[in-house]
Parts: sequence; structure tokens; C-alpha cells
Amino acid sequence: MIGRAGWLPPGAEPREREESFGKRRLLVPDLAPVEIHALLGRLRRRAETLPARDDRIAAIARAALRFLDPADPLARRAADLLPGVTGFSPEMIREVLPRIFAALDEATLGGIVAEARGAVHPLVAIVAAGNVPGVALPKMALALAAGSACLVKCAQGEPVLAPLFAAALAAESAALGSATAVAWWKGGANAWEEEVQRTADSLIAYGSDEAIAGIARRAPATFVAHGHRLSIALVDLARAVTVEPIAEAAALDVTLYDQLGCLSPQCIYVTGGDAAGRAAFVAALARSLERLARLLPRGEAPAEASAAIRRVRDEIEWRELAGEPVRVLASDTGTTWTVIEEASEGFRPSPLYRTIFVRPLARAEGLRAALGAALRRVECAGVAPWPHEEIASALAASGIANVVPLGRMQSPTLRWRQGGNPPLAGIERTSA
Amino acid sequence: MFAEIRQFIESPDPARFGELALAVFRFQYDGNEPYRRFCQRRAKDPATVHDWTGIPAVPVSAFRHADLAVTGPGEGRMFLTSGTTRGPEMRGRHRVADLSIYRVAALRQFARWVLPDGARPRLLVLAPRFAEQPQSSLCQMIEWIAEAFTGAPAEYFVAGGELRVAALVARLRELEPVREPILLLGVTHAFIRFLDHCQTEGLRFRLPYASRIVDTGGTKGRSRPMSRNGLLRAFWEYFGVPGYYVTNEYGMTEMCSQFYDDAIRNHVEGHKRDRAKIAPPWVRTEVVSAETLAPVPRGERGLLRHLDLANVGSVAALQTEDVGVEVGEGFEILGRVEGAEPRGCSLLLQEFVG
Repeated sequence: MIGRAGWLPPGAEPREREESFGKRRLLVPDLAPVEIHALLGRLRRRAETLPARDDRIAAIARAALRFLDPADPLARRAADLLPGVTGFSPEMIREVLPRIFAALDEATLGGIVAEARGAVHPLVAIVAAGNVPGVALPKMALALAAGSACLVKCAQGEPVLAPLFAAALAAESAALGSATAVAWWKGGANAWEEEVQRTADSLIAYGSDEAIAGIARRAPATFVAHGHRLSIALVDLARAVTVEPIAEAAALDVTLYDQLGCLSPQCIYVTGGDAAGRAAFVAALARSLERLARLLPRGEAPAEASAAIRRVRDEIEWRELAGEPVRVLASDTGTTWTVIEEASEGFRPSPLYRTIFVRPLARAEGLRAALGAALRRVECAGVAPWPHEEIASALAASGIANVVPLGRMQSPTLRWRQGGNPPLAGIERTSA
Repeated sequence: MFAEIRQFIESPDPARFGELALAVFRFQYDGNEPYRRFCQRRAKDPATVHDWTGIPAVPVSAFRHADLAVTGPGEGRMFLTSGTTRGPEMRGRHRVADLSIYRVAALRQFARWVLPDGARPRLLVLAPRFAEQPQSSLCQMIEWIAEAFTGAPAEYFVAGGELRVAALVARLRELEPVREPILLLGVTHAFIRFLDHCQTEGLRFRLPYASRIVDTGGTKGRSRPMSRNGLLRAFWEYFGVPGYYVTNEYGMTEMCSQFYDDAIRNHVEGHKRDRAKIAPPWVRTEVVSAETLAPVPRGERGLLRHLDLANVGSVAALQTEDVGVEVGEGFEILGRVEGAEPRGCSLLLQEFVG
């Protein structure tokens, strides 16, 4: 059976056409401009006929729970389609699916919605991007929980989970299902984007700076953009009893999503301890990455990424051969994982695909200077050991909105302040 | 070792390539300390490597970080990469101990692929004089070519970093009616700049029969990009030089041997086949996967890895970031490996603008 990169509320019998997504072909809704217009108008009116708050939150949570059961048909469908579409290994997909859906829990949804101060936008449009699974789901769940209808444009790199989640929602509550639509279209001026600008009250968009700039030109008045971001980690060896669990936690955060997510650390700053301590941490990190590479094989990296990883490895190796106190530890074959120990504070972006820099940091307060221009792009910092008052306050002072225990960076809760915004940004009217 | 390699280049015996490659590896392992340490980290040494394909290849970028020369045979001459894409501090340095090997390798390849008919055309150069850029391997090579193959003195049309457009226009107009072939030799971006000028000014030339063009290097960052076919079309349109008299040179500062398209030779010898770059008998080229560095199946694209015996004084086995594919008896260059498209939502290297 061919999969679908779309889900439309019952009533319409749309034409569909096939499109390529990664290595799979999927069916996408093929609507005429007049049908798109009718669909969005209908969706917007459905916000008024949603079930009561507690009922819809319970239904959303039940729909999410289905994906925690690997035997559920929808979860199986997701596990079947996602590797070919996204390029992540089947093992990785099986690992991350429960993490994605476990976050959509009833208590947190209820708590956030209860704190909402004002009215919500009747129709929230969400434009997802990238191949990291489930990027749009938290906003989708929050919008419906808060009482908005919701149109999702699924990402070219991951058009699977939003339609399946919509199907699960419809199965739990027909009213929720009829207030949800998922579609895919090629970005650019077209009937979909014109209609979103005309009819949606708010647009939440994900993507590169370039893509965001293009979307912004045709966005409704309320527009929340989530550009590409990066994350970092901070480890205090002076407080660590042993390095192994910290290295294990760091390796997990690097490994999940092959480091392609905005919550994936690109650099680990190590304070406390001496050079020997750092060396022990780096060695333990390498062992953990190797172990995880066997449990959660990396997806295929494009040749450009492999070459970029080799370029960094080569540079560090030759700097080491020239006598600099730098070091590279790497997988025996391929570019599966790489640990680069740099001697200086500072920051340089990683070529990703499990390539992690480790740098010394004399004091946590020095992080702002070390990151320089990268600071404003930092989405999240993972910290170990946890809790750590001094580091947490130093990070808060430097303006990093999300500080979490190392090893939990890739399991954001719905309270995650994405891009520094409150969870209901773009959904609540007052939070525009 | 140097004499042996020079002799091999002068009268190659392909059957001896493997044996010589291993001898060069031993010579470099013993005499080139940074290279030896690089090999030791990979647990490779002359005792364990029995085939030239197993000789550890140094990434070309290593020439930016280390003086990768065999010590002993004297200072030689240091050539520097242009460093245009990564800034002057990141220029690669290649010390060539024995210039005579470099010279004979360069001239033999040029004669074989550019002048296979024995022509001795007038040489117009779209690159600086060697005296102006004595650290440029390309300028050195052009000077050798000018000395060896042309009757008249070579004429240079780049000076002080500027292409002397008006002077080149005037000279081409003068030479058009003279029934002697011209060889236009220069860097690709200078050609593109001149072609743009011709287009703007509505200029067209009809160069004498058997005139030919050799362009070298890419266009990146220096001029507008142009495809190989677009360039061939423009050479025909603006110079009247057909594609079979145009060849592209591929070389690098870090490597003493060069490659040329086989187009001119194919034309002269009457072969009809797709243009490809053919390694000289003293070079072997493999196409390898960027991910594993293992050879890819024939026809698949990958990174080019060369083993160049003419590099006897530094490192013979070089891993490049040039993307290529095997074609016919040789390979074709598809460009440099670029940054990856962002797939996830993490900020990527090339998106990072501070």
C-alpha cells in the first residue's frame, strides 16, 4: 500500500497525485484553488464546534498513545515509511517514535492550556521542514488542545507523522479530525500559500533562514518563525564522580537524529578537571558513540557531509601532527562518528552526522564569549552533572532559554521554549 | 630515486608502475617525517603495504599544515596554492625538491594532449608571468611550455592581477588574418571574463585554423559559473575555435603531474569518443567514496585519489576533494565537493554567517 503525505477531513474526496519523498513515493492531496479555499474556510469554522477542552485534550493524548505501541497499525505504518523517506535507520526511527509521542501527554497539554490567558486563533497553519520526525506535532497538538483548528504543511523530508497523527486524532474524535488537515505543496507562490495568507489567522513556520524569508513574504499577520538552531552541552568534571555516565548521556544526545536536530549538541564545553580528566571524558565519549553506532546505526550521509567530516578530521589530525594539543577520535570505517578535542574555547559549527567537538571552558561564565556570534542561535544547553545551580544560572544569564539535563536534550517536553518563545506562541492571540 | 623516476617519466614501462610506486612509498616513508607519522597512525609501513593501492593517501589539505617534503635532496622550490577560497593564511605549500622531474612531467603531458600533431602555435597567455608570481606552480609550468614549444616569445595578458582586455582584443584582431595557429592558454575565470567582454561589446574573432585553447582551474568565486558545455559553445562562438581544439587542464599545486582532456588528441587521431582526462603512465587515479574512501564501482561518482610518481620528493599518494567519475580510459571532473543541503533543523556549517 502506498503511503500518504496528507490527510484531509472527511467529506472531501480529493484527487491525489504521487510525489517522491526521499526513497519513497507517497500520495499527496491535489486540490484545485477553489477546493483549497473551501477547505480552509471550513477548517476555520470548525474551531467553533470542537469538543470541550478536557475532552479534546484527552482525545489528543489517546491519539498520541497509539504510537507508543509498536503493534498499533498507525505506529507500524510510521516505522515502515519513515526510514526510506527520512534517511534515518529503522533502528533510529523505532527509538525516536516513542520519544516524540510520549511528550504529547494529557497532564502537560492540560497544564499549558489552562495557563492560556486569552482567546486563541481560530485557524493556525503550521509549515514543517527538514527530515527530523515529528517537528510539527507539538504545535499541532497544542493548537488543537487550545481550541484552534489546524492546517499542517508537512515537510518534504518527513511527510509521514503529521498525516498519521491526524488519522489517529480523527479516530479518537471525529470533531477533532474535522478541524485538522495535512497537506503538502511545493514552496513558493501558489494557491495554498495565498489561501493560508488570506484565511489562516496565524502561521508557525520551520525552515532555513532562506525558506523562512520566502514564507514571511506571504504570511498572515501573526507569524512565528523557527529557523535553524544549534545546541551545546556543558559538563563540569569537578562535580563528576565518574565520567562514564556523563559520556553516555552526551553520546545519546549526539546520536539521536544523527545530530541533525536543532536540539542536537554540536559542541561540549568541559569545565573543571584537568587535561587528563578531559582526555578520559573524550575517550569515554568515543566508546559510547561506538556502542550507540551499533545499536542505532547512522543513516546514510550525503557525500558532501562525509567529505565535510573528513575535512575536519584531516585538519585536526594534521594540526596534531604539527604539535598542537588537539586530537581526533573516530569510527574505524566511514564517518559514522567523530570526537574532536580542541584546545581552545570558542566555537565552530559541526558538519553533523555525529561529529562532536569537545572544548575546555575555564568558567561557565565564559560561555557567552566562547560562543560569540553563535550564542543567538543556541536553542538548548544540556548540563551534567544535574542539577547544577551555578551553570544553570550562568546559562540563563547568557540568554539560553532551554537548559536541561544532558541525555535529555532530545526529549523536549511540550513546555520547551522553542526559539525562546512560550509554548502557545502563534496559537494564543495575545502571544503574537 | 629521483633519477629512476625521471627515467620512468621519459620512457615509461607501465608494467613497472606498481614496483616503482612501492619504492617511492619506502623512500617517502623513510625521508618524510610528517608523512611517516601519518602512516604509522594507520599502521601502514613499507613492510605491510604490498600493493600501490594500499599506500596511505594524504589529504591535499594537509599541505596547509605541514611541510610534506622528503628531507635531504636540498631545498628545492616552494610553490604556494592561491588560497583564494580560504584566505591567505590557509595557503598550501608544496616543496618540489627536483624541478627537472616536475618539468619533464609537465612538458610530456602538454605535448601529448595539446600538441599531438607537433604544432608549434603562437602562445597567448591569460595568466600572470612567472616573474610576477614565482610561487605559482601554474605560472612556472606556463613558462616551461613557452620555452619548450613556441618559436615566438609568449605574450602575457594578465598583469598586476588584471586581465588586459583591450590589449588582448587588439592582438587577436592582428593575428586573425595571419595563417598561423594560436594557442590561448590561461585560467578559466580569465577566459570567462574575456568572453563576457566580447558579448557586451559584440566582438567575435575567427582564429586561424588549428588554433587551440587550454583553460585551467575552476570559476568559483572569481567569475560567474559556467558549465563546460557552455564554455565550449562560447569558445566556438567568440573565437571560432571548435570544441575538439579545446582542452581543460586539471592540476594542483600539490601535485607535479597534470591531466588534460583527450579531445585534441582524439581529433588529431580520428577517434570519436566522449572527452575524458587520461592519467599519464606515471600516475594512477582512483575514484573513491567520500564516506568509506574505498573505490566506488565504475560509473559512480566519488572523490579522486591520485598516485603521482612525479611527486617523489613530497607525497605521491594524494586524496583530493575533487568529484569525478570514470569515463572511458580516464575520468571526468565534476567539480569540487560542496556543502551539504541542510536536512534536519540544525544549523549547518554553510548556513553559519555569524
